[in-house]
Amino acid sequence: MGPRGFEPRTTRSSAARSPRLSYGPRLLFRINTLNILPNSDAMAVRVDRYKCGYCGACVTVCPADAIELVGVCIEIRENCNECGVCVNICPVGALELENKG
Amino acid sequence: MRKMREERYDVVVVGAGPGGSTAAKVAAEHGLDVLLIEKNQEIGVPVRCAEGVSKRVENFVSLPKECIATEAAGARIFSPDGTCVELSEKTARGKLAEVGYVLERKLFDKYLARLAADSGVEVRVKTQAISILKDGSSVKGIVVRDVSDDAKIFADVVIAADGVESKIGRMAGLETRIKPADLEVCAQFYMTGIDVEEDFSEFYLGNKIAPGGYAWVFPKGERSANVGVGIEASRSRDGARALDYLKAFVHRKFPEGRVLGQVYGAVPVSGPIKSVADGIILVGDAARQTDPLTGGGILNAMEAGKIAGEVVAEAFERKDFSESSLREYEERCKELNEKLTRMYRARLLVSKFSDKELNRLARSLEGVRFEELNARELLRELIKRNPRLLMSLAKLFP
Repeated sequence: MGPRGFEPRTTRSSAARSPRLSYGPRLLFRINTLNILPNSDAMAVRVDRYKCGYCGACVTVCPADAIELVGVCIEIRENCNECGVCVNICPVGALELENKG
Repeated sequence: MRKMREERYDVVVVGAGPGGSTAAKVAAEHGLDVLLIEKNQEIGVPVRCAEGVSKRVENFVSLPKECIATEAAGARIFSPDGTCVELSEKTARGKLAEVGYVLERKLFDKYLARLAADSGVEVRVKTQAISILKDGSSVKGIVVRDVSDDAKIFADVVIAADGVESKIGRMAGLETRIKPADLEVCAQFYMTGIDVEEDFSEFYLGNKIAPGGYAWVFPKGERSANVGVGIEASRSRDGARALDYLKAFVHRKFPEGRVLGQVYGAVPVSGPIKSVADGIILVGDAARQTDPLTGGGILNAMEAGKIAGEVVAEAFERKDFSESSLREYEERCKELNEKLTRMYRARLLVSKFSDKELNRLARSLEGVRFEELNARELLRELIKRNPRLLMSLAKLFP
């Protein structure tokens, strides 16, 4: 892999791609990081334990205080509001916002 | 079914990193009954650090040989076009390199914990703090979980040195959450079979190399080094994550290298936050005491840990563990905090530079002989030679 392909991309955050965002993605992203929207039943953040490097970055930025780093395991609690901040900042891409079920 | 024990200590310290171990040691040396807990099975493992530290570390502790992997005589900072600014003992009279030693953190952290244990601290590993005990608004201890039991640990003061992902402070009502713009996310390979000059730690700047951060090569023994990249978390996204930048950097710089270890980490670069409340003090990364410009945190944590231990000992003399009593800690960290705030501003400035500007600035330093080998001296020289920088700084902070 070469040092190419790092031009800014125009796709928005994973949260912004979620189907329930009808207010305009940026506004909703803001609202959601304030943790005042109810949990959506449609989406959930999942951890790929094979990728996770247990650095704790996601725990540090989680606005809902919903992520726990226990030893080398990341746990995502019920109060996750699927804002997607952790998904973007993960250094290895171990977190994903995906449909439940 | 887990049993719930109850225990009592004067002080409980959460996290056996450099900050926690130092705080525990100092408190115990003042005659306090101290418990130091570490959630991991082994102190110092997993390493989440690039392991570079200034030689000022010796002001705090005399290091055994095995804790030092490599001694670097200087640093080289590369602008995006490869222009090199060299800070070495040859070009400077001072000998305080920003990265003077590359540590073996696994051994270094254990050594500090051993010093604490030798001072009478009780150390427990694989013991996680799962919640705090409160009496009204005041912290009265923590609940811990280990391999066998849960235990209520009552203590007059909790020192939370629980790292970047600190939860204890949050539980006590201190705002420790960080926005992505104030966090660096890092990926690092421990590489071998590469051509590195053992005498120099290297830093690479550039928006294509490490947006909002830098890439580093810290030599660690013969033909080996910690090679890493830290980027501003707000600039991380799918396909352009810290690991992607690291792979690109390594591919270009050390295609022949072999990776013997991977390290991932996050460094708070927000500058200092409120770090005391009733019955609790935050230390180190938990208190966001890492240098926002360089990302270095070991010495600041040790300095703050020492202050925390002393302040707690004095609080015991007064029998007053309220926030106003413990605020003495922030008072004595003032110098440190002011430095952090300055570095935070410098970081905001530097992170705005385009690659072109970085190149120009690097070239402006050609032939400079530095008095001292640190980021502050470098900034001072930069501003001297580029007075307009001061204007941009002023614009950032009217």
